[in-house]
Amino acid sequence: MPDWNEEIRRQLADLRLAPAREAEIVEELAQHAEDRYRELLSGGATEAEARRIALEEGGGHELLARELRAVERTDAPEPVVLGAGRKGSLLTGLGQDLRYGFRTLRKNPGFTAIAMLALALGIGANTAIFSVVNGVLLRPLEYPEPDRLLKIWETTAEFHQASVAYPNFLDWRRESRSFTDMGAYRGDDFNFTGAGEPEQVPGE
Amino acid sequence: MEERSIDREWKKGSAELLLLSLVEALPRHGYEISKLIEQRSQGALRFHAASLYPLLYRLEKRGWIQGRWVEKSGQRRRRYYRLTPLGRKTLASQRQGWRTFVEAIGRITGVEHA
Repeated sequence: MPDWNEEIRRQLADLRLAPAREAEIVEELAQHAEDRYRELLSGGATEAEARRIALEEGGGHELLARELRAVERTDAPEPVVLGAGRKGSLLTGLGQDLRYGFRTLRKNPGFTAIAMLALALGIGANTAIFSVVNGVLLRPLEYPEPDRLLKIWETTAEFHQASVAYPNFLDWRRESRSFTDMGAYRGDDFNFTGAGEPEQVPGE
Repeated sequence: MEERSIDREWKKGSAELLLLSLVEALPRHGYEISKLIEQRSQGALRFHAASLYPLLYRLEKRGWIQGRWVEKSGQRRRRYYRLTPLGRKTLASQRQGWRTFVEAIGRITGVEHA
């Protein structure tokens, strides 16, 4: 069977059509040539004769290119844009796009698997990062008016930020008029014993 | 009547009318259209691919016909062309124009038409 596609594509090369448009025309003309070729064979022509006649009737390079140039140069057809149905509602176009997408994915299982893996990793990484950002930066402290909370230190000759002695804390809380209230905490380690080996646990 | 006896320009002038007429009743693909032209004209008219398909594309661009790929079981897909509502109006107008023209020629030349 002659390769009609290659022959016709060669005839159309000078027209510089959009690839999708060229493929469509090549397919249609190649099918016509094949139909004619089969008809000639069934009529008793040899394969060489049938091929020659089918190609001659196709018009050859110059005639076909001239005729097509006159039609195609006026205004190239708009490419089909996914989601931009020519008629009908938005949902009609969306449905077509989804069906097209699923068909394409089904035909390329390898690509589909890699794409899904990439998506899963991307979504997982984003979720993890957001969890950290939300906990550290976004989620407010569980107190009323958390933006008005302050942490205060005692400054000594040795330390710029030193823990506050408890008597000082009591004085500050009693005498301060700048704060509504004050609280204090102290970090320490505790020895947890019972059954088995004792364990040291941090506490506040 | 031999194909070469029909003037090329006459053929060009009537080509649109022929194609529109053939897809009026039902959608047809290009090869079917070319065979019907040859058969119904008893070999007097033949449209080869190089002139048939550019003309089909031209009519499609004008919105007179619309092509659509159709897949049938066990066959390669084919592009079928059907008449659009605009094409139907154009066909009616062209038919009337052609009839008027042929009658006028007949009255002048004495050639009777069918």
